[in-house]
Amino acid sequence: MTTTISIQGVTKRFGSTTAVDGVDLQLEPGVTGLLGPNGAGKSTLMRMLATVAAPDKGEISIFGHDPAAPNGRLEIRRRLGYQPQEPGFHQHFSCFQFVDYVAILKEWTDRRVRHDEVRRVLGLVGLSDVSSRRISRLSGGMKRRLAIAQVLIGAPELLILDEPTAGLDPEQRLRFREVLGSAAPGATVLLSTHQTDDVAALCGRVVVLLDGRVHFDGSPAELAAHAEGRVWLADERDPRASLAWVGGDGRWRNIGEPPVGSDSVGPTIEDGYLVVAGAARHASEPAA
Amino acid sequence: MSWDRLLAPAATLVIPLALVLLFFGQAYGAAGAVVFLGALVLAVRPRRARTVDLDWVAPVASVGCAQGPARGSVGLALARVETRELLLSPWFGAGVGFCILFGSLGVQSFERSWWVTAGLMPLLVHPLCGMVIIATHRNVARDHRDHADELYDSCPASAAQRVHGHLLTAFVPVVVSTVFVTSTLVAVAIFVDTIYGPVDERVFADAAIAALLLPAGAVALGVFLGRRVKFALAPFIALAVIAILNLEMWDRGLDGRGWLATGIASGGVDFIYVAPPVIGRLIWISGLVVLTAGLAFTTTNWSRSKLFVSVGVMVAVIGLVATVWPMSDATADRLAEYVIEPDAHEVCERLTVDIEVCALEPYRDHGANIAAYVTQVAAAIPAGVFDTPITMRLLLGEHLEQLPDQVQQRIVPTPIPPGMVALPFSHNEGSRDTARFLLAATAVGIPLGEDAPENTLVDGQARGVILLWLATAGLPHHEALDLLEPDQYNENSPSGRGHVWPWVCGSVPVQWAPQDVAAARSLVVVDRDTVARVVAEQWPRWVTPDATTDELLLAIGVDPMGPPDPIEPLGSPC
Repeated sequence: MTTTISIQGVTKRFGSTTAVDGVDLQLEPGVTGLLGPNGAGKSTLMRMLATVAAPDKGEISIFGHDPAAPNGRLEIRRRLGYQPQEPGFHQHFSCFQFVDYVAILKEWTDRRVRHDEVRRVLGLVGLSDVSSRRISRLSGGMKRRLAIAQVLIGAPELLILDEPTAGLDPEQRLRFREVLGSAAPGATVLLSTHQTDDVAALCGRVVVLLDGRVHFDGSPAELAAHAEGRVWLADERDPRASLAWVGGDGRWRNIGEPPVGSDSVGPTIEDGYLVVAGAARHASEPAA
Repeated sequence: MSWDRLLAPAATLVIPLALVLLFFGQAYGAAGAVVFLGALVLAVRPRRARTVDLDWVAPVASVGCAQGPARGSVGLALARVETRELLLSPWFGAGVGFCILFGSLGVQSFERSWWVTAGLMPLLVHPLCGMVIIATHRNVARDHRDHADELYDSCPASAAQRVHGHLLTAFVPVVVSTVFVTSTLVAVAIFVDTIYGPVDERVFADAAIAALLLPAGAVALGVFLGRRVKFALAPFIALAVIAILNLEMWDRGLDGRGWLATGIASGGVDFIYVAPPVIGRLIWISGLVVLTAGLAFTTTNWSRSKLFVSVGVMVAVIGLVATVWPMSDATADRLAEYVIEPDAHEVCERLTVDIEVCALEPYRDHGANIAAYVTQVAAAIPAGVFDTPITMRLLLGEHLEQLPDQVQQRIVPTPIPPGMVALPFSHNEGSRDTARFLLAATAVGIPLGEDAPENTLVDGQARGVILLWLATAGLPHHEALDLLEPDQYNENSPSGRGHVWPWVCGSVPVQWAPQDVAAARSLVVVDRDTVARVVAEQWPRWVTPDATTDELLLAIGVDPMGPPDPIEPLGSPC
């Protein structure tokens, strides 16, 4: 499979804080989920891949182009759709005007063709009926959809989406999955999210980023497998569990080292992620 | 486009007009205040709209992706958007409002030469340009202000193309300014029949600076500031700096560095006594515009920026040198002679044996107009009353220090010789009437000029009444009575009720008692030949301060007015 993005030893620091620490990754077409807690370096990594920030160390190659070179950067941007974590909107613009403006910045200079494309992407996210409405009058969820709409302009080959489903209700998230699956076939999608069920539903691959480093890189099933045999149900919180919560059935779901004879259950991606995160935290703690 | 987006710019457009109503509308002042407050509220009101939600039910992927992006001019496409934003900016609306305000003042307020009228245009478009700087700055800094710059930076359009798009919006204020300048000058040409002087390269240069260069430069400066200083108050600080620099340059007078100002205030001295560096100023301001546009490109497209900045610096330096370059000796000599030997450069029209009206050659049509207006007064003055011939001419007055240094050095200040009557440079009803009064006052021997008292009181004196009667010579009765209608200045006092000298700010050379004015008004309806005969027969007697108003009236056969009310000197009413 063709490698879309190649990242080698990429490091990014902000003062004394290392946001991204020697990351190596190869991304191919398909949807890759990027999981990690707040401050793990996900957004910083995505900003570098979106060519709006430069790494302090290491090399990035996207579509075979070096984003550090002006021409390479231009070629990458022509094939890129990017949704920042906090996309800024001009509140007095209408939905159509905003997407139209981004389309111009994406070099859609033929007015008629551009307007057709704007209508298309607004239709994809279900905002056709409010295309003339000012952004200040949209709900938070609709603004998220508007941010997704601008990403889809021109069906880019690379989509970098920083928490695109934050603020979407469950039905809207399902719609998002549908749009992403149908509007970007064959594209390389890097999706940052806290929603593990989005990862399970969308991603063929998941990367767990903790403290700026890659701690897991594999399929969702492989991530879930990390918690295999380490999740069990009990009527009360097991003191051996590193993390436990009460499920809908009133029983405690414990994660950790199970006691012998415990009621083990199949792990989810979320369980796998928690195990990976717990292990990473444990490894980083100084020895007593 | 929703109507409420148009509300703010429309409201700001009304604000300057409401201010005019408030301060100058007299009876409509209260309405002006209400309109002003209403417009202000609409302009600045927070527009917090209701939010809506909409289910995401649209069919997905029902429409295929349009064909790929064309490689046309991104800057041009962006310019359309930015043009819309500029047009909807309340600041730009206020700028247009200023133009409408100045336009609504009426063309009759342009009462001097074409040089002065056109020279005012750059100054009059400054408020528009100031508002354009603010509006453009806000448009350019919009990405940063709304935190959209990260998204936009990830797009293939470069920052230089975005700058290009903003710079292209310059055509909007250029069109507004061109319409304002052109319509004003055309209206002056059509409706102000007293406009005078040549229409030459000076006029066209000032019109071009006002209509084209300054608004384009305002956009360039707004873009530059928006790119480099995103601080919201930056354009306001820039405006203050520009104002201070202009004031500083005005202090230099109409000379050298003074001409570097973007808008020239003529001050008291008429433009006929100066030699503006016409081409130099055009090049200087063009250079500033190109340089500012080049600076706007810095950090975005260095090669283009280098080109613009280099050309801009080169042109500006050439313009700077050409502007401050000393005028030629021949020009300085000519301007000095305008002051000390005006007769060498004048065109004169003789009204009588003793009286002529002269004007410097470029203003010959102004002289001719004034001559036509005072010729009847001259004819009514009995022959042989002047010891020395009278010349009415344009005089510099007390503005010697405002002349270029090279001209000043050639002038030795000397008192105005006897027989010289100063013509006003303005040409309106008041100034024409003033010319009549000046000639009549000179005829009856009332001292005028630099050494004359500020107010000569002629209450109860026959010479004062004869002055007024002479001033009305040749006018129809109703116009003569209008001319002798006391000004509304302090109408409760005798001094105010006797104040009929045409309103020229800073000067009330002669004051009458109300009874004198009434006497003169009564003479207007008497047969003019009868009055002329009585006046001519005993002229030496009437022009002495001892001859009274009532004696004159009795000699003519009109009922006397009685003793005059005591009056006080009005000083300078302005």
